[in-house]
Amino acid sequence: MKASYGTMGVMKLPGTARNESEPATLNDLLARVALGDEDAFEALYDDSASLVFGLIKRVVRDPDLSEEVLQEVFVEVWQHATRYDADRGSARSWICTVAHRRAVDKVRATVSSTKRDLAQGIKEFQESTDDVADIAVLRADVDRVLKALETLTEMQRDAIRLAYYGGYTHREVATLLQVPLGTVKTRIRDGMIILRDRLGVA
Amino acid sequence: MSDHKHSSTGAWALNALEDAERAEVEAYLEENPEAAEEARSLAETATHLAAAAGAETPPPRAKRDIMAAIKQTRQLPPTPQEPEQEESAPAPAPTVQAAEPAPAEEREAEAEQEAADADVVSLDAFRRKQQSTRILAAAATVLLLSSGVLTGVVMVQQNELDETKTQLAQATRYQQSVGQIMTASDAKMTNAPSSSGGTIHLSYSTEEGMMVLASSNLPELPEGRGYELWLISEDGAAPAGMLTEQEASGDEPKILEGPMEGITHIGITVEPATGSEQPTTDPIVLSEL
Repeated sequence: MKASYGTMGVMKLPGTARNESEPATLNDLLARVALGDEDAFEALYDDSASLVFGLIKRVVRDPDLSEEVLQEVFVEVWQHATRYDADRGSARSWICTVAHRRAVDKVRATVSSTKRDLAQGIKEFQESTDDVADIAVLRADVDRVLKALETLTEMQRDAIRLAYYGGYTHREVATLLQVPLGTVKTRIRDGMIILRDRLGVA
Repeated sequence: MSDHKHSSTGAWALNALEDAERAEVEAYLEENPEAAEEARSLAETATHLAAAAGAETPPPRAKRDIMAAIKQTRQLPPTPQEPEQEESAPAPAPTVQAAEPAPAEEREAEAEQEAADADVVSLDAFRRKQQSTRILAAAATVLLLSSGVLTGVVMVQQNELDETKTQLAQATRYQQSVGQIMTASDAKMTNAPSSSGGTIHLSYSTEEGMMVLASSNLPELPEGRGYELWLISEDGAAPAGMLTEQEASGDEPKILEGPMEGITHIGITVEPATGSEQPTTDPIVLSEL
């Protein structure tokens, strides 16, 4: 029992206490997480968990699997915070990338045994299209993104939604939309560039 | 030719490339800062798509589990500064990290194959994924060994990761409970022999309202019979559930949570597998708390 007690890490490193005086940005928090600051990690979790969980659930859908992925994502964020390089993108972007990859991994791993039925995929996609229209009640940022999505052509929007929210590869997207692969690539890129410019992403 | 790769920046940013093409595109990005910058900005844009998915607050247990998991998980050392990196004049493309040799990759051919099938992970992410798999497995191993109750061979193969994670979740919960008990000022531990052979190990804290029970060498019961747990107070014995097969065999601990005030003894009797409202046989274990 004593031995196992030693592995529990209940002790905090000295000097890692968080300065509570002003709210820290996600980038600041991640920088402190890289130094082993568990309080900063908790704050980072509180700040980003619902964004991450929303994304995971959109892709994975199954609540239990989504929770599993959520844990994988945040453990990975904890482990790899030491290797995060701010020059390569914002902390939020990095966390979302980790989350999306993990979600897609889960979906594709689950599917590889059962081979996802494309008809089912189309059905799910149509449902998710409805969902996207329903969530305008969320933050202004969400509203802005949805507005930006509306400015895309239907084909661009479809390709991006299937790839990002559906977790499909671009080849699968091409099959679903019944267009050549090159067309899908172009649509995704063109659409993403429009979104980027509309949203003023640096 | 570069047009074809350049046109993939969007699909790259959305994790929609298949393995081979992703590697090609990433090699291309390393050579082309302009394309790399575009890829980075599109990945940043994808973050807005993430937000548009609609935020959803995860259940509180998720946070508890994650906070417990990170306490058990060592962070990776920072990316080593390789001499050749210092020598090379142009900075690496912003979105792509120079690939390092992934140690033990050969040993994980299967994991690699699966990751390749997943076809979304960049080289860097792939390595991270492998590493985190190993670390997760290692964490699970530590927990399994340190718990002294849970046993099992932990495999690092990707296809057994799920099982590992289940074990980790169990072990984490156990570890958390033991942690809660051990850090309580009224932590107590006791061993109670069973009259039919074997022993029950109890760790508990009344203050925390938490008890962990582990059995060892309890005799196997005939079909249709099971071990039932009783919390005994002045008012009599209240049923506290059956030991599952794993709990009875000692493969898994039983964790009890709730107010323990007034409970003076814990008992175990052999009952029909469906359980009884009151003990119908003499206790094989009766331990004073």
